[in-house]
Amino acid sequence: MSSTNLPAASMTNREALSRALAVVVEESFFAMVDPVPGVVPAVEGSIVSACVTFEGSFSGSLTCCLPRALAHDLTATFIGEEVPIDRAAVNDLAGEFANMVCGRWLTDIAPQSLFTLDHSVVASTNAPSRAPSGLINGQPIWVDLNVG
Amino acid sequence: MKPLKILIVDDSATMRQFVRRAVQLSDVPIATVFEAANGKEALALFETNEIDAVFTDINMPVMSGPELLRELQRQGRRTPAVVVSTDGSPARRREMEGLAQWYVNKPVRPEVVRDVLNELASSIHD
Repeated sequence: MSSTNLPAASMTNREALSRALAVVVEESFFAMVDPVPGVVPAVEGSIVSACVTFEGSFSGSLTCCLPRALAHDLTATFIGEEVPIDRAAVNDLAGEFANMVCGRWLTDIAPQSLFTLDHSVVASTNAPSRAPSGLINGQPIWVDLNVG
Repeated sequence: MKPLKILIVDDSATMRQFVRRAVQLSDVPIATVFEAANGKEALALFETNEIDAVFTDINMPVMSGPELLRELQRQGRRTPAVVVSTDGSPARRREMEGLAQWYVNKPVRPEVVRDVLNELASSIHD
């Protein structure tokens, strides 16, 4: 097994994470991740959180938090407007979104390592108090890494 | 061209729906699209249905994609397989050599699924 020393908060990590988020949003959802302006738009409605844990040459977790309304819009883009979209579908999409961002990030930073990704854990939560990672369709998204 | 019977294996229902939609939007005639949430459910469908090709994720609970493909090989089935995974690392691609003929990275555009399906259909009908 290769060993990868991964400083948890390195700039390389954050840049790779931003890149992974942008690629997933552009390729699967035909949208852009915009920078956060000085004043963060208020979040209306609840927030959905999706956490995926991974294990390999290093382990950790990646969590995406986004407004449920945004998750609903992304679900519609992903599977088509003609399919009924219920709460379960939105939760599933949020989990798959986190899975895709995590997989893309791991592929970028540790291409020679094999990782196992667990099924995402999805829950409703409060809006994080910190600044978002970016805006999608004008709505905030938070992406956080926890590397052990 | 004989319409194909396709099996999509992924623990995400929305990802299965995405692949189903991409498959159905392709030019390849499709007879049936089966779905399974893991390798074990997929094996059960193989027992009772004729399946021409399988699209499978890698990381799934109960039975993973590699475990499914190894079991299909052990059973002597030569069903063409497409891996659709978030893990696009060379290490993972090497692991899947000999198990799947195509490897598609998530995030995946619908036209990539279409192109792979066209190649797959040509290989079946050649």
